[in-house]
Amino acid sequence: MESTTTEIDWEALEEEWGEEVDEIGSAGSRLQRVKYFLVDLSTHSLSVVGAVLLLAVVVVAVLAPLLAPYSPSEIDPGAVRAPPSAAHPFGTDSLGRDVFSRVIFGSRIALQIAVTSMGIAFLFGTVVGALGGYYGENVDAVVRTAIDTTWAFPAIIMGLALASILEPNLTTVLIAIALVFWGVFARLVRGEVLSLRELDFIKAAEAIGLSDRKIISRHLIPNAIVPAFVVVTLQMGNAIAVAASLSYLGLGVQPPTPSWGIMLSSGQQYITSAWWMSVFPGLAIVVVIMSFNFLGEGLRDTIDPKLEDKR
Amino acid sequence: MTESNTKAGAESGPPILAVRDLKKHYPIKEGILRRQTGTVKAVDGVDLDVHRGDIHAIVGESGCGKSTLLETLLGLEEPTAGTVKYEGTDLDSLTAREQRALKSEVQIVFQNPESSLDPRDTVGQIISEPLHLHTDATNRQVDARVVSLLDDVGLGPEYYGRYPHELSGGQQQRVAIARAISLNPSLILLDEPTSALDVSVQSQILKLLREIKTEYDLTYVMVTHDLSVVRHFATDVSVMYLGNVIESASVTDLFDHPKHPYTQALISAVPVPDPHYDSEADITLPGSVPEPDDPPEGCRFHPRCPVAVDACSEEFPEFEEHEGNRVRCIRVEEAEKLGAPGSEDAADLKSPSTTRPAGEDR
Amino acid sequence: MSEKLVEISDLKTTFETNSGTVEALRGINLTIDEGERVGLVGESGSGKSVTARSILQLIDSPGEIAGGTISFDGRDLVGLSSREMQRVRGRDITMIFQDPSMSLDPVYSIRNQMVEAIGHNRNIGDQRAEEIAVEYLELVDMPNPERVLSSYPHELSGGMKQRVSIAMTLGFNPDLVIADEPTTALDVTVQKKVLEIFKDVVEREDLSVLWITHNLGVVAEFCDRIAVIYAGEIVEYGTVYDIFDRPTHPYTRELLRTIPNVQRAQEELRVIEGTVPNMADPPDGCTFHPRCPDAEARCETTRPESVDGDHHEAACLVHDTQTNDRE
Ligand SMILES: Nc1ncnc2c1ncn2[C@@H]1O[C@H](COP(=O)(O)OP(=O)(O)OP(=O)(O)O)[C@@H](O)[C@H]1O
Ligand SMILES: Nc1ncnc2c1ncn2[C@@H]1O[C@H](COP(=O)(O)OP(=O)(O)OP(=O)(O)O)[C@@H](O)[C@H]1O
Ligand SMILES: [Mg+2]
Ligand SMILES: [Mg+2]
Repeated sequence: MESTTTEIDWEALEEEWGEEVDEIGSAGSRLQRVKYFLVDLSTHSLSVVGAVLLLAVVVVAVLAPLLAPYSPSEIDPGAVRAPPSAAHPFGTDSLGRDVFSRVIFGSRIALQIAVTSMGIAFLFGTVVGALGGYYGENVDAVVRTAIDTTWAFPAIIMGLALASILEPNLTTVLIAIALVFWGVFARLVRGEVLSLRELDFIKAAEAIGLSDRKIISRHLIPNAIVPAFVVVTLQMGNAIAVAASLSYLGLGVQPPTPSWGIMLSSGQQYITSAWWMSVFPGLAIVVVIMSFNFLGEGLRDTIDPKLEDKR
Repeated sequence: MTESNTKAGAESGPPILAVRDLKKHYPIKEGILRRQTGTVKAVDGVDLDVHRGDIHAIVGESGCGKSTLLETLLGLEEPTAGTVKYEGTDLDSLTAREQRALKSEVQIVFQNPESSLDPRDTVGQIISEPLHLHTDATNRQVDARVVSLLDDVGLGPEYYGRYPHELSGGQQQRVAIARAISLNPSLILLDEPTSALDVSVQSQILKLLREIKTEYDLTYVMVTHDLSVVRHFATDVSVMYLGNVIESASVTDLFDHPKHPYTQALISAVPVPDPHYDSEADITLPGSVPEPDDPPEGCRFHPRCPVAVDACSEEFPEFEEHEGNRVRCIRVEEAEKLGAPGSEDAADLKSPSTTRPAGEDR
Repeated sequence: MSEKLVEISDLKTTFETNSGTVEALRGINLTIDEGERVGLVGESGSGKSVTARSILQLIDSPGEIAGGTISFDGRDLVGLSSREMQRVRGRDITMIFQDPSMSLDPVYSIRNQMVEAIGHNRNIGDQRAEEIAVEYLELVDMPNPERVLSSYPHELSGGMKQRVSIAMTLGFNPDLVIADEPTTALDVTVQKKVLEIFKDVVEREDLSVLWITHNLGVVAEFCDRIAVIYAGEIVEYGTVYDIFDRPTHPYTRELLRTIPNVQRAQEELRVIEGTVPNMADPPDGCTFHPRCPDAEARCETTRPESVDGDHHEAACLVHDTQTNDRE
């Protein structure tokens, strides 16, 4: 059909309304929003605790070589399983390595695993969930089956199975955790997209002639992703726990990497004689998991108080 | 504005929009397994001709299929049966790309203003999206267009950076209207465009729609239940009942001599802005709207019709012409005796003459 | 005789936006007696919905209630904790929202939502709640409540969603119903029925209603009293007869003048010249003076005293209700 759209006289428009346009400027509207968001978040005291703790962990991880008094693999044969002292604040382990330094370096592994595996799970889950939710029918059926399958196995069993098939190393752990968790995001995003799809603004986007790809990337995912962000934060802690458990069971990162899970498991047999070997890495795990959870809860309450009732 | 409702002799040439026997049925699913237990016949055989330059109003009871009709017209819903032709081109025969191009020609304003705006976009982003998509103007030019459109719908440039939830219902609707007219389409489908607006803003918007209509030679199809809007704004009206058009006429004909008993009841039910007015005297329809999943046999309206006879329950009459109105009713003569408010003396009764129109009394 | 149920005094609500602080409410006084139906009318953007949301304490930051009190049943709602407020919402005060598709959750069936909400607010079991749901759906003229209950919101028409919200709200059995443009999506015949039913239920259960609308026809049929709001201020308050027969404030008169008439053929649509002021930068003096046909010099500088919200009164320097009423 021939185009009958009346041409728009752009030059004249620019001439007439240029002044007003300049006034709009690029007023940092997003920035403003972020500001209000942070102000809101800061009224949620637990999330402030979480954020501060987390920030501390990140700083420790980044500055590990500066903060740690020893290298994580440095062996002091004269001090095997030595109790905490001025020289070794958290004591030493069976090989005479400084537990304090190893806990500090362990934060790097922990964050690396959490961020990378969750990143993969998040990206993959979001895209798959959005596709399922948007196209429905057959595509959705496949997505749902896939989600349900991962859902059927408790995270740790799934990780165990994978880690025992593949060679136990860092990559395996990352893949295993991502595989365990993508379903969480896929499910969440799929649900959000399903409900968003019925709202008129998606139809409106269709009506102006936007392609499917653009509708998904411009309108669906940005709206569906916020709750997924909350969940990502909440699940980070779980990812660290799973990674630690895998290491604990000897299926994850291999020694001598200073992983908190390995330290926990190797120290466990000495829990009565040398409690410091396992208690300090254990504490580190608890602190990180907790801070992720606090922050996640704060995010959740701030972004959408209704989410609480829904899940 | 006096020429407003008179048709600009547009009858010539093929209609810009020709709809034949259009149907849209939805399955009803129930239970956990969502098994199909019935069919909702939301649109059930609609014929409609809209000519270039018309303002074609569609009125009818809530749930009678008006929104579904518009969405099917635009291809947002697949029709179950029937054809929709734009200037002679069948919508079905177009490729996806051509359909998308057509979408800059045909725009829609949805019924619910808030849910039709993406909550994460600013007003500026919302209105500029179609402009960025279908033109290659610079950002600044697009912004200039957005600001001028905002001005058209009575919003200042300060609304550019606002988010939908920061606007009142009427302001949201105006943003939706600005988006719809941004590309100067040739046909705009409007679903209750002014129901969220007060009379004053409503008048402004209608004036604006009328202005751009003359300026750009637009055609409107407008769903509304506000008969005063129809009367003051539209050129033609189709009255829908339960998925069908039951009366179609020019505005003057319809209001001067409504033929179908349902049309008469509809006109009689308009609330009168006068606390002294006794609404008991209005025609009230007995019973409630039947369900579109189980429409009555014969004329869809007969169970509630004050002048129905046995024959009405047997066959759904085809359109017949009465004084310029196309009506699907075999009891037109009897219906006229109902003393519909269209007649002169009834008009006096209904008009809020007891209300001294404010401001005029001093 | 009638007890005051709601007493709003000097309510101010503001929002921070990119273009400055929006003073959406600038000191509102309003009372609603028990069993009374008060209409809140005004142009688009005048602050009607914000008033409703303020009463329910649904103003999210960056908005805030910057001052004033809202006494409900003798208790000030401003400053109640969110937990206490949750108990008030639904049980004591319920609201029908302007866009019904925003208040219904798209992922749950209507049955799910109605049964849960009614059950929760009335403290009753699911079965009883469903009975009530069906009863009220029938009341609002839904021919087939069963189908509606098993539908998801997007499977219903605009008017059906609106009636679902009305049925749900009435089903809560509250003391005060705030209805924000509750009949905009309804055609006139259904609107008429719903209004009648609303009236019946309200009278039977002695509910109070704050009815927000721009449709003066509906107000005339339904309300006892009217508050006319302009730019975040109540400019005139009185009984329906006061407002329709003896309008005093020039804005009220303009508003009444714009009502189109179905019977009279196509005369020009009337508008109130000018636009609602930018609430981030409202004019000095009387906010209506830039658009007012009767404005005098003092109107540009002096702000008229606000109305009390319990008898016929107009916030205008030039016109006075008393002289007007005596005429
Ligand atoms: N996606 C759907 N699935 C099932 N039924 C639907 C769907 N969409 C609409 N319907 C049904 O089709 C009928 C017509 O709906 P539609 O939205 O077209 O009504 P309407 O005339 O626009 O009414 P209103 O004035 O209340 O908006 C209704 O009974 C509705 O429940
Ligand atoms: N969250 C918000 N942030 C900023 N401004 C807001 C916000 N909510 C409302 N406003 C502004 O407050 C003013 C009053 O809005 P409100 O929604 O009360 O209008 P209304 O009287 O209900 O109008 P309508 O009839 O169009 O719904 C408007 O100018 C609106 O833009
Ligand atoms: Mg509709
Ligand atoms: Mg509003």
